[in-house]
Amino acid sequence: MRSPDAIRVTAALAAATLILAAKPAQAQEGSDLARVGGSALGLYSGAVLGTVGSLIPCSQTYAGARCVRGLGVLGGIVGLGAGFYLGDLDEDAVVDAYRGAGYGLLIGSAAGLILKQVVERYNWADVAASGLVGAAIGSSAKGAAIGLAAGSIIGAALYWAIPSFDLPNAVGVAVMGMALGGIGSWVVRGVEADDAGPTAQPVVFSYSLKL
Amino acid sequence: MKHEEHLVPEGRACPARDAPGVAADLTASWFTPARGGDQKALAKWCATVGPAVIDSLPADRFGRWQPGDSLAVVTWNLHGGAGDFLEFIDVEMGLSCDERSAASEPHASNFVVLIQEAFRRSETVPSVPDGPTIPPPLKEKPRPGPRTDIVEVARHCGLSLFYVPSMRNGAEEYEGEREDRGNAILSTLPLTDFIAIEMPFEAQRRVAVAATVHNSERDSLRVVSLHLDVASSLLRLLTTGNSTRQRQGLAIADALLETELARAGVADSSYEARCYPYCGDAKTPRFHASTIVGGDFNTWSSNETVIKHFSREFPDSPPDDGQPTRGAYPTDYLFVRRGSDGSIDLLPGSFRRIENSYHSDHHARILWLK
Repeated sequence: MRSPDAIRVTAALAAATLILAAKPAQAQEGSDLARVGGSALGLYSGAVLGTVGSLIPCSQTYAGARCVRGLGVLGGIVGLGAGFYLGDLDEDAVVDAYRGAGYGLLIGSAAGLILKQVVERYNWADVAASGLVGAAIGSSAKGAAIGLAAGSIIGAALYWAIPSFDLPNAVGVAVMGMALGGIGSWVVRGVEADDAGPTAQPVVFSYSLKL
Repeated sequence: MKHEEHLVPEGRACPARDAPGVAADLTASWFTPARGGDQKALAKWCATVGPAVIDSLPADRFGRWQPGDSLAVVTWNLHGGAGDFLEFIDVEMGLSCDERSAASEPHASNFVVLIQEAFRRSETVPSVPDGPTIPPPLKEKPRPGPRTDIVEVARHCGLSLFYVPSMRNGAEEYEGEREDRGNAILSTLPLTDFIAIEMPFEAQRRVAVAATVHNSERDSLRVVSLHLDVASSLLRLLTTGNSTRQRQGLAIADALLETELARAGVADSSYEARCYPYCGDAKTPRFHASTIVGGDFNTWSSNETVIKHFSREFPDSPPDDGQPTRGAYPTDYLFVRRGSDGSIDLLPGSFRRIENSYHSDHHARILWLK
């Protein structure tokens, strides 16, 4: 029998799914809000993906946790820059990223709920953490999925080809691929928005208008 | 690490966190993490376990460790009552604990066994309400023979023993008795210089144990049994950068360093003092005594950060053979650092995995010293 907490959380997830499914207002160019929002989500997503992607590879180095923190910061910086650039060019793309983060939050939380039922010592904080990781992945879902697929193929190939390349390394390459794909997709979306043309505005120009 | 040297109080299992212990007949040094958060969590877990057990002297029938004699050092995760310790030492160490043969047969060679997940069933384990600080009992597969706890086994075989429980082994009561589990050292040699190292809290309370054995002429060999956490929570994993085993392992290395510095009479903690085991180009071991650390590091691979650190700090360790000891994973290790007295020599080719797991979920590792 499910606990009342689990029922409440499941109901909240269902309600959030309906809200996310609503069609947002369309905006064709950048805005201050989009710049701030894009920067914040890019920073968050990049930092989390950088951390998650480096957990296993860094655990195979002498630096260990310092390596993870360094790559988390690096991911955050790239995400911050790319998110700002994207928000400056295309508000729609930022809204889409938030929508993806919302879906990711739901899927991650749902996965966390399942894990809580089956994994010993998996508590509510871990369920929340699952949701937050899901949000980071969801905000750049396409790139993360492509990266995960590429990383899995490379990891599997290395696993079969090199005897000393063990299973944790293969999993590490797959997760690192997901992280790189996710962070990369922030950059790619910015480049695509730039290429889209008329709605894009240079950063300097947009500020000069305000002055 | 905060170092407190005090008497192990009879009937208590935990280090004094703000007050010295009461009188007792045997001393141990406790190391506890300096961080307040760790202390708080550890104190809660510690309140659920029974006292440490120290039987410092083995039975008279065991011989001394003479120069030239071999000494086996083994690390093995018993998995509670799953591992058949009696069969293990009979087959692998040549020690039968059958009373008739024990009385009639001289024992072949001395040994030290570093045990993880040893359990003890006793009425001294306190009766406390079930809660998050009481983990479920280990899932043991049934095996032939009696399920005897570590204290019973040691006393039955006449071995010296140092056992410090880390946590409860379930909340169950067995006719007024309860179980805890932790690390232990058993030997045919007398044990001295008892050290308990409470590791930084990650997922469960863990206490590494250390003791010293001596040969009849030269200096001593410090032996350490440890068991690192397998994983922390997801939230901690992300916020600490997966530092669970690194943090715990380095805390043990630090505690051992402090112990050796204190023993060497080095009061400062300057780089020169801390550059053990070799300083500069001289390649001279700074510390007199040799140390062997064995345990279940719970690693996914032998390239993990904590293994790299231990390999560097214990430079005389046998090379990794790449063999897994729990399922597909290389979790169990023996690390060696020779002291400046040259009291130990690793017998070439003696380091290996013991193929029979004796019903435990881990294979043991063994090496031989001369």
